[in-house]
Amino acid sequence: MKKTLKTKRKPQERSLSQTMTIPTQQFGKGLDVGTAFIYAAQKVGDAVAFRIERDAFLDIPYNDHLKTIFERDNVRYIEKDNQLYAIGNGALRFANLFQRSVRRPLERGVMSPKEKEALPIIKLIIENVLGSHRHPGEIVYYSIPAEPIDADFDVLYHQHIINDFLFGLGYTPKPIHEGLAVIYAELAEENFTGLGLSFGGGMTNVCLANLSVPVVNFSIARGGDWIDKQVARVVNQPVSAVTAWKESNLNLDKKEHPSRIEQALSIYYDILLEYVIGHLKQELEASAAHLEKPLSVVVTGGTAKPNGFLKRFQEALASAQLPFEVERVFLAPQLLHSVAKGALIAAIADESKRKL
Amino acid sequence: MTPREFEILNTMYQLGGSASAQAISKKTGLSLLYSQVLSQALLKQRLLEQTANRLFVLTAQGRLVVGRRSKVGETSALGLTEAAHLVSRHTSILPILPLEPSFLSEKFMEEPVSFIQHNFNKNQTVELADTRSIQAGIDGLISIKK
Repeated sequence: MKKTLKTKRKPQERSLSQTMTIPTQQFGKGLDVGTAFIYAAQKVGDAVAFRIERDAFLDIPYNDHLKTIFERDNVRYIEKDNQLYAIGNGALRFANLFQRSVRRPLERGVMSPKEKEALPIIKLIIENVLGSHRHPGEIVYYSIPAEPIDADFDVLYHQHIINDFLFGLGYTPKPIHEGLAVIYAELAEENFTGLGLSFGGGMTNVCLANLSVPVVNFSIARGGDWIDKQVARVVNQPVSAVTAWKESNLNLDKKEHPSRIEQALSIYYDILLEYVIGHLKQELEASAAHLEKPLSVVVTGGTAKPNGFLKRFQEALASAQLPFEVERVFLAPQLLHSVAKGALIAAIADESKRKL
Repeated sequence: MTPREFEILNTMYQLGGSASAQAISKKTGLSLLYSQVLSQALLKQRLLEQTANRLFVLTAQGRLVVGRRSKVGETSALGLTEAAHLVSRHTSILPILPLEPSFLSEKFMEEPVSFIQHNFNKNQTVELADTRSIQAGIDGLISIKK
């Protein structure tokens, strides 16, 4: 009897040791500081965990009843003096309820100069999504927009503020351009060679990389927020209402009986695509870069989310006649996560170099 | 401001500008409860602010107060006010404060807001993805950068 037990246990032990993969701790974190959302990514065991917060807030005069509602409905808020600030999705919800527009701590990819509360709010959001470091000086790659080619501002102030703040939290912060992060996340199979476009809320970031080295890198100060603002103006609705509608209902494939708002969104989507691809063509031609094989183009970002976006993008790209041959155009599998994912890949790769 | 409150500010400065209530208590030798009361008073005066993970952080205004009170002498040249070597009440020598442009008013330097309360740790949205989605990228990037 004992013998049989032993013979039964041995193969089990062997198979366990053969099949069980011991989860190795991989340090490093990725942070996507976007105009519309902030995403933090880290590896936890065998999974990648993304912590998310919408980059929006709404100030409402303090009211006990409202605070109770916030607590009950899980609306995230900040209480300051005699004000309540609803944060994230709750801000959007209450903005629509009060027929107001949410306030944004970031505008066109960088810290908003118009919002006095932008800095502390963005710090709180980042601190909360990123959490504590797992070892002192853990590397965190945070996304920054590339220099805009159609607007007169730079990203240096924004970059330094985020950098200092992360340093203060005990991290080793390193910036990564949003477009390059997209290439790290989505073009590993192509040896990090190709074109990455991130259609975000505040900006559109573009990066052409060859073997992970950026060859052309720029941003355009138009994105989903620009569409929302134009549409809100022409349909006479608050911007928040247009944003909420766009995020939940928009289908760019729909041809029959479009509503006024759908029609306006469709028009401004086309204008945005034309604008971005026009600039892309100019920059690629000016770069005189040479690539050995046809390009893979990956598209990502929240603005690319509606059904039919890829088709319109492909059509616009085909009609623009870029100086490169395009092999394939595809949407990233997780449109909203790509930048954080790319930043995480860079951070883990960097952390592993430290160990070597 | 009471001398004890100033002592907290000074200690915060020595600790690099941010510290937990426990660290302040340990460094000053005050009881945890008393140092917390003092820190709360400094929060109200906006000389400190508190982060979501309960750390106290010296605000720009707080740094100014430490600088002003501790100054032995002050020299002015080319519009810049240089803070001289600072000596704390416990005779330890503090590092020299960075040059501070004298034309900056206290109002300008004031930190915008200090938040009293928030429920940020509640119901954080977390999404999980398979590591395979990033492992190829990590391996590829490591090998390409070698």
